Amino acid sequence: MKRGLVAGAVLLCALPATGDNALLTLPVITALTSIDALPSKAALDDAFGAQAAQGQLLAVAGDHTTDLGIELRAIRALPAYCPAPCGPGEPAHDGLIALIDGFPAAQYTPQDLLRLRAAVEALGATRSMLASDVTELVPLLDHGSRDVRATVVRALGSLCSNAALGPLEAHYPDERFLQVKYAITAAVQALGQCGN
Amino acid sequence: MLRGSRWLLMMLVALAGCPGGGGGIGDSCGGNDDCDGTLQCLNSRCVPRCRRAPECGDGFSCDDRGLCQPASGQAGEPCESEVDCAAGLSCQIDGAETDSNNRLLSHCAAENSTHPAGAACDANQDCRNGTCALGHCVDLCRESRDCAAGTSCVNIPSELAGNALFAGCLPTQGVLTWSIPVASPAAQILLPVPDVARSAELVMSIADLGQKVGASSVLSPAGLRIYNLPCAPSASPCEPDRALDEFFDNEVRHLPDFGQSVLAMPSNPEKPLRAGIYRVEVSSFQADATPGSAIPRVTAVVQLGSNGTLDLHFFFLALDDHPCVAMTDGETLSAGTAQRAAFFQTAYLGELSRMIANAGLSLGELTYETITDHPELDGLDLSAAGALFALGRFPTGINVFFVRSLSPAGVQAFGPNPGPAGLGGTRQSGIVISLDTLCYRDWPAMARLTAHELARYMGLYHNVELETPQHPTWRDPLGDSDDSSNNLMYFSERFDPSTGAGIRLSAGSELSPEQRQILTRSAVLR
Repeated sequence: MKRGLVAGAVLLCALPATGDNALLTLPVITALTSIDALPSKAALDDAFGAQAAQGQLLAVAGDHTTDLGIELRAIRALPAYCPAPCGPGEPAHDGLIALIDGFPAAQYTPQDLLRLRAAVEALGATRSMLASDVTELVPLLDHGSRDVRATVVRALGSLCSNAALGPLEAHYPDERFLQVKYAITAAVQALGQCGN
Repeated sequence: MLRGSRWLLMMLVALAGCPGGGGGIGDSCGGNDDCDGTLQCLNSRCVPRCRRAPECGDGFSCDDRGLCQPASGQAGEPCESEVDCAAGLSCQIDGAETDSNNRLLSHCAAENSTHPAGAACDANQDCRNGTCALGHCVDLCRESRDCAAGTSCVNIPSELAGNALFAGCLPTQGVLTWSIPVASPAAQILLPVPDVARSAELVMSIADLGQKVGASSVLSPAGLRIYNLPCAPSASPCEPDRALDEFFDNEVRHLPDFGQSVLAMPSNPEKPLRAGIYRVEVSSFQADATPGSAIPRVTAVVQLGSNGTLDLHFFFLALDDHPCVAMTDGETLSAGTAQRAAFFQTAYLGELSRMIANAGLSLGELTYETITDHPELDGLDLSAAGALFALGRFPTGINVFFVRSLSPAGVQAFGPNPGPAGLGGTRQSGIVISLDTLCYRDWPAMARLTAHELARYMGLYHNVELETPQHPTWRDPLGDSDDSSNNLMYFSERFDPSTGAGIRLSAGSELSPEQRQILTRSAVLR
């Protein structure tokens, strides 16, 4: 809980004033609206400026007043700014944790679900190998949305931590959607190939 | 040659009428003057005048007055066309011998007891008339009147004789597809391109999805190198920017890919196809760009002409309980819903149809299917796109898949660039659209996404890339497309500064004349 508060503070510090889209210059918008591919780190550095890119991506990722498409791509771009070993203390990692912790579980919109899935997927893409990241995601295996559960399963496979094996295998019998069951099988196979 | 047509004439003759000038169909006659002006006297009966030689039967030509003329060519005598040789004989090419115009010589020889013109073949002896070209049995001809209805007399290069040409009957419209055998992981293959071809492609695939496959070089019929394999960033000393520089510098855009790749020509209508033999080095590669061990399978596809009609085949994965269900009027998007709901038929297809018309094309047949037996593909990780596209079984038109979501998050649509036009059921036979996009975009925006990916499948490239400001050559190869965000091929959703403060994203669908030319040449059209 304490870690979540710290991460939230990191994200809040990176946020612009509410509704302030000053960060969204035309190069930034075009970089974060590509249709059929994700922008490379080099392209994002060009758009934001190499020194400012991570902080500004965090700001865009946490600004729910901006266009959701831009926000999702900003979230998904964060792992590129989390060098290995990616973990607590790295702004990109902590920003992703804050986004996951900040999900309004009691009352959420379809857009909130997409933000959550993007953050979960991005956390998996850090391949942090951290048991603490597995712990962060495991409660979401019981989420009501099968799309969220499938994303969480994939992320657990991508994290490359054997700590995910138990929760995945435990969830398998209870899962009623084949989409998620197939994802669990693939994730377990992926973990077997991580070599840790 | 088409003995059935002769039987038809004989049947007509059997319906004999009375002799005399101005005779009708089936009347007996001694010469053409005995028959009505629209008829001719053949085998002592008045029959309709011909438009094509096969209507006269084997051993006849059809002259410019519509009269069937018996052929006199005997075995061993020179010929140019199938209609030069008497019944029971066919006009066959004499190996690689050519005349002063570099045309292959031919002579009359006994027909084989094998496949008729138009049938698939691997070698000349597979064909009744002794010529197998572009994977199909072909009759030699002098003009289109020598060929069956629906086919034309065109110049075809011979794989056996350099760039020497012969005239043969090919379909006037449509797509020709054939396999080119490859026996080793790296080999040179020959791609014969007839003079009427509007586009040509090679689809190269291997069973080992851990290896890449593709072309490493392409020589034009004139012997010019029009494609050279870009260096691989994984292989020192190739920097990523240099690899992309080399990719964009090629006259023909192509990159080997895991499992399957497509080499499509032309990439630029200012550098059109030439009739002749293209020499293509095909190879498999390991992931680190070293030589591969898999033997490529190669399929050639040539577009000979079309009416500009684009069929679309929609496939809907299990999309129930999707969070953006408000955009589908509270209903699950499926084959049934899509066929009747206004949001799909009007807001989406209406806008898509407008964009396709802007390309000079028209929407043709639309089919709809729901896929419920592949739950592993409902939410698609792009690394598994090949398994989804392999379900796109339609070779004509383009298969369009709607999935719940795409991973990586933020990717709204995806498809091969270019796709295997004219081939169904391959790992690249389709494009995919994420329904998640409806949580923040409307149906007309979905139509623009779809049109963008369809155009990439058909051979267009982004007019500019995100990195173009830093790398000016990283853009499409066309001379008349600008950098405008209003262009359909702009790499990102368009930012519209005219809306003033705030962010407004909307659809640009403009196309340049050369972009339209590329689209109208695609083998997906009918």
